[in-house]
Amino acid sequence: MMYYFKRRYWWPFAVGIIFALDELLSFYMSKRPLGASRGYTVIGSIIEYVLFPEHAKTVPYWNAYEPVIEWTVAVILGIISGSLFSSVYSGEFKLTVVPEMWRDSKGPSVAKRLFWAFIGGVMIGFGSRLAMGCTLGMLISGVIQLTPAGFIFMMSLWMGGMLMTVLFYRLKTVTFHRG
Amino acid sequence: MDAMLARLKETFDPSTIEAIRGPASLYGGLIVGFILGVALQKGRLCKYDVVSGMFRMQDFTFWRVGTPLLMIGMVLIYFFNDIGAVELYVPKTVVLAQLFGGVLFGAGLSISGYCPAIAAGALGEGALDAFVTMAGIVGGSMLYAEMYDGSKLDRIVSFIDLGRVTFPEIFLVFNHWFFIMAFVFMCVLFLIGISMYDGFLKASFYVVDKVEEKLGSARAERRKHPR
Repeated sequence: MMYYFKRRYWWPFAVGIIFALDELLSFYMSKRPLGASRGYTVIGSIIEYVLFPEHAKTVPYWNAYEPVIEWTVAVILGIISGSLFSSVYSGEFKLTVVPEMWRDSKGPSVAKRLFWAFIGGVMIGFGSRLAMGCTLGMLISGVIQLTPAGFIFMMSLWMGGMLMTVLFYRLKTVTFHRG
Repeated sequence: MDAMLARLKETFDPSTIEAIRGPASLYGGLIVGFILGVALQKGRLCKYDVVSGMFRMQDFTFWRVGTPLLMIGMVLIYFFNDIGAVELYVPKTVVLAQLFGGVLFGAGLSISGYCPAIAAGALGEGALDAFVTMAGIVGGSMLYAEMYDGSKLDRIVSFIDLGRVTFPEIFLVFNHWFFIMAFVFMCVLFLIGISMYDGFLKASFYVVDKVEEKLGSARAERRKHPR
């Protein structure tokens, strides 16, 4: 058993099957589909509740996302700890700031990478709230249950991602480097 | 300061750590998230190079994991739903909101290279820029909450609201296994094609690397012994 955790990578098909069983476990044990972006919204609600409690009462959106640590926040903590355990056990853990493919196409500047990571994060957060789910909660859980929402989100995500990649990286899109 | 700490203590509800099962239990979330984190790390998914390589058409690890995930997950969920062991939890379909939200989400994904779950996995792997992305996601959802009061966003959010429906209900198909069979058949074809193309790409990048190594060593030798 532990031999398999020492391996650096698993076969993608096997990872897909484990992922599907995990989704089934989430449906069976917690009676709700997997989801991560709700946890970030709850963290935002908690931050606003702790810092500005008077203002947070006047925002109607926080009625649906009460400032209580709940299941999806635990999922985020679980993902961080699981990935940490797996990467430390197989010797993959390495502190990095600028990924290699970004260095090939945008240069080695740390401040630039952090700035664009933050801007991209804001776009991801806004988009996931607008679409009412992220890749985990809307795309995977939606397509698995055969809902139109998941398929629409999958196609529009692919369109937006391709368009923005070509516009953002311009001529440096193809880098001759694989992760 | 003390009032802040008291409010922070209020956010933790002790009734959430009593049981393992149920939608409110924190233990359930931790267990599911731990398995998910191991799967993401072992599948080589939580890396900027792989996510961005998917949009640059040079790394198809994502689709090779995602296609079996979707088809096997669909079969498992509907089979256990027919038995009666699990219940479906269908998300709401609002066409325009999902279209605009998906385009914006994809644009952010191609810039930062981490989606919400993968950012958490990448932070566990030691990528510090993922933490900045996580802060950005929290900031983006707070921004949306502040803008939600306006009536303009509300019209986008509820433009073509179909409610909580699935495809078998829309097309009035009496048995959902027809849809699942068609989807699994398409997935198998797609998986075969994408695996072959990914193998071809891997071989060609290997050749490019070898040629660059040879050229690099030749150049270094020429620099060492100039004519």
